[in-house]
Amino acid sequence: MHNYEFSTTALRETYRPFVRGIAATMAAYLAVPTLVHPLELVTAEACANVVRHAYPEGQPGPVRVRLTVNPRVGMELAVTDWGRGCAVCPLPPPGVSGPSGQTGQAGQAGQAGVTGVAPEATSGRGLRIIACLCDSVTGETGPDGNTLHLQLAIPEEQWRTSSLTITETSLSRR
Amino acid sequence: MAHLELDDHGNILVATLTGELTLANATEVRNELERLFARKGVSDVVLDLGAVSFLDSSGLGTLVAASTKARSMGRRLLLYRPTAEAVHTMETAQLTGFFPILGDEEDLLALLPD
Repeated sequence: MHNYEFSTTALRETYRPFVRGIAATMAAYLAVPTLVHPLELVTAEACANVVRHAYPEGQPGPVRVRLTVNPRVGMELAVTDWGRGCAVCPLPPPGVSGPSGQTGQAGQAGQAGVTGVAPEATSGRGLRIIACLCDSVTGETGPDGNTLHLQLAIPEEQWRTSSLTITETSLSRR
Repeated sequence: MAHLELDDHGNILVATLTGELTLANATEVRNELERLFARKGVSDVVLDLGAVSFLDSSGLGTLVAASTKARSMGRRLLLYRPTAEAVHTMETAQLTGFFPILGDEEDLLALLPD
């Protein structure tokens, strides 16, 4: 297991460079850089949700992403904010999971829920995208902030061979 | 910052976007597209996404809003050569078929007046 932590202030102007940095870390584990796209997309959607919903307008706060890489198995992301929590921020309820996308109601994600976004709706698609691409999505809120936990399984052939070698070396030293 | 480079073909405008289309610039691009549709004599805006490296749900929301506005005015927003990643994002959001898509230059030339 490899653990990384990233933090920034959640702003429209800063979240994309922030997410690109996380994506570069994830891409280093993968056989082909383009395989990082779904991982980057779910990270971007989760961070964009924080930018849009977590903090009052004009009073931006922090967003933290903890990335756990489990080589040859998958990656986990924990995206935390210290803002308004589930009442305002559209976190899905605990137990919501993909990839079937049959997630039902999800907070403020729209009256139709994640799965029922109308084609002409101009928002509410971020969580649908997250639910479709992740194998598990759970939300948690409490004194330590509001955290969206995302798990993505990654097929063995998509991992970069050289990073596997490094992993095995580091494991054997323990 | 949104950069829409325009190529005027009479009633058809080809607008090229470079960079990304995300929450960072979604509002700005939406405003620019709506300005284009407000131009006199414009029937179609072809948005060239060939150089757009990243598209997220906010970017899709902008495209949906601009497209819906255009339809209400009897006009069309067409997407030109979106990248494989952008197409994947649209499919994931179940928006396949919502936008008319021009896959390549041949499709574009067939649309443009001689």
